[in-house]
Amino acid sequence: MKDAKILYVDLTNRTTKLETLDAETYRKYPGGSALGMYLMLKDMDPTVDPLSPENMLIFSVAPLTGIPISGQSRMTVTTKSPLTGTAGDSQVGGFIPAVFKANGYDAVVFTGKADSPVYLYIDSDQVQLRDASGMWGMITGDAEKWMAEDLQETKLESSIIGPAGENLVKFASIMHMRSRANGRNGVGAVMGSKNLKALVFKKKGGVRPEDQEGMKTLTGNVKERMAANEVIVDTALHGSAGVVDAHGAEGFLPAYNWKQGNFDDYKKTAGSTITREILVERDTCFACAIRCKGVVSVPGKADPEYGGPEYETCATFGSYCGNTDLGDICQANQLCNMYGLDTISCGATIAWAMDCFEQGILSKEQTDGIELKFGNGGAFEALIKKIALREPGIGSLLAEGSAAAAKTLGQEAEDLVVASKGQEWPAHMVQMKPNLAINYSANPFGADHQSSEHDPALMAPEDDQNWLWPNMLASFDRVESYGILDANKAKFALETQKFYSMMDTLCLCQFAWGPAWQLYGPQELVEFCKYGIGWDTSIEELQEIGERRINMMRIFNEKAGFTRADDKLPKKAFIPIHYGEGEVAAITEEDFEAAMDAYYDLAGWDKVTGAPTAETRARLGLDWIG
Amino acid sequence: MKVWLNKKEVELPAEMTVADLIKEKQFKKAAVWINGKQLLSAEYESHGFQEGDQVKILRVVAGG
Ligand code: SF4
Repeated sequence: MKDAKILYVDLTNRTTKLETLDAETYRKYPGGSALGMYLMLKDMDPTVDPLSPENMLIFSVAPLTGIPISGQSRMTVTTKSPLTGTAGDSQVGGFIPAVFKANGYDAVVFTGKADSPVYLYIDSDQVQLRDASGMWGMITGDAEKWMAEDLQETKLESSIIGPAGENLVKFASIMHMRSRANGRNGVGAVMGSKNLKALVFKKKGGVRPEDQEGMKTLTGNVKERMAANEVIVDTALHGSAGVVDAHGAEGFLPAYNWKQGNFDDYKKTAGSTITREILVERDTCFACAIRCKGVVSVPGKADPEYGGPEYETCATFGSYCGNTDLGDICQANQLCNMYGLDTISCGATIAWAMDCFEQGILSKEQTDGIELKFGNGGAFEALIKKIALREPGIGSLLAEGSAAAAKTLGQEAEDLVVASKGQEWPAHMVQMKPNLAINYSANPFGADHQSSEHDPALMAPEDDQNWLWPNMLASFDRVESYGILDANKAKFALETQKFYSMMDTLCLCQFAWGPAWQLYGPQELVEFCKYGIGWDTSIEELQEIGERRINMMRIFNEKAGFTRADDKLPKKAFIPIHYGEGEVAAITEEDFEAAMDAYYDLAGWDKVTGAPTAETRARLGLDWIG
Repeated sequence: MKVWLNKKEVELPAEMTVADLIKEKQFKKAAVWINGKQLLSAEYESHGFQEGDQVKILRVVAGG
């Protein structure tokens, strides 16, 4: 592994400097979120206000980024989250990660705050902080065009905030290609707080692998590999939205703000319907053969320029809100992409507000006259704009996210929130996938569906990769039904969390790479490291890298004041869910607490404080953190 | 032929295989138990059903 090249940008003083991180240290924190956490723990006080100049905003890629193979073009943003108050990160795909690396950098670290709007333009060694006053207030698509004009250059890849980031909406995203988002954790608000509108790179060619012939053993048969994997075939056909079909049919699609899993008209919002009725094309990320990104057209509501809705968006603006109008979902998706909002938190926060309205907790006066009933997808347009612009009234209330907004309304409203550490839940029901109950509550930045593998892998036949691959990480017991939450699931949650954490470090797409259903598995990743960059590694070392990142985040959170008491589930997690043909799935508080005890023990964390013990820190080489 | 499918009595064609059943249910991936024993996926194409079989079939839904 080579040294990492890190560009520091002090926005207050408008200065830049280049530093290198030696290869030996980089191997312990090899990119993405692990590198971001290493830099934050080294240089930043975890108690800072997330929206103050003292917060750091770190864009990073990884040693493997840009080497032509499916699922390697991802970029991570790491910062202290204004939504959760914890360490936070978010990943994006597309083309900017590969171009970032091709420009010769591993990370760009922003500190301080500019006294007027700026954007950073990088063309290899030429780095310019440029005036962004002329595009402040613009939606993402317009800002892209403005920069092309300003730079007199069209060969650009950019990460941009919309008005929501400028207005410090707590779940503002950073947008790339108008349709790819660093969505979660409010990273766009941190960017806005720094008066930073965009990070822009000049396009460059790809990165050459160390061993071209070796790489061909992984890439040469990609078509056959895809055809042999039913889940990947479905992903290529319907994108992530295909999961609406499966969860909807099974009765595990969170509906009416998580009141139930049955959503009768789910087919109207399903991936197969999108493919059949409104899909224009499937787009991709650099060098990815899967091409899962849906581009849709709904005249008057959604333009192909802004992509199309993912599974989570179909659910949050669909079933969560009791809405079956696909056009309204696509319009909401487009507005979130224009204004720079996370579609999960935005849709979930609106669903929570609908629940409050239905229960009489929010009056029509408080919603600015909007009839905020379940099913009213026609309200999305006005609401999203109000949120993004933080208009006084319902806009500025919802701009805080559901958990913070509920605190201003009282206990009844808080009981309706479905979030962990303030992060609204993605659309995977813990009654069906109980290891996510552990993950949603214990994950350092709250609920995340992409931080551990999902439970059904433990039901797969013994000769199926869904069973074989997780068992390369550790050995698990077989499971024969939904709704099981026990020590086996705690082990599954932790071991696959390490793997996903490592993927967020090496910046890999979790549809292309993973420990169960994906295109490439753990052993292929070891081979990719060898052929790609000449790194002789092992599954054990990769697992430890992931574990180190999780522990750095836990230590950061401990210093920011978080304890086990924050690793909680919302009330709605314990609602029994009727699914299939008369079956019921549920988890109990007792099972949850027992599984959490097992999880802390396995992780080497103190069961009372939830913080990594001294032994765990020493084992992972983290005792340098004071 | 009558079998018990996820605790409900149903009629299946005599020549139906496990793979046919999975296809009919439109599952991308499934776990199947017959009389309490889980099948390997390699058995799906050839394995049929017997009168009175207790069949359990669950959809293996991936993340995403
Ligand atoms: S699977 Fe989809 S999201 Fe992942 S790299 Fe490929 S096109 Fe991008």
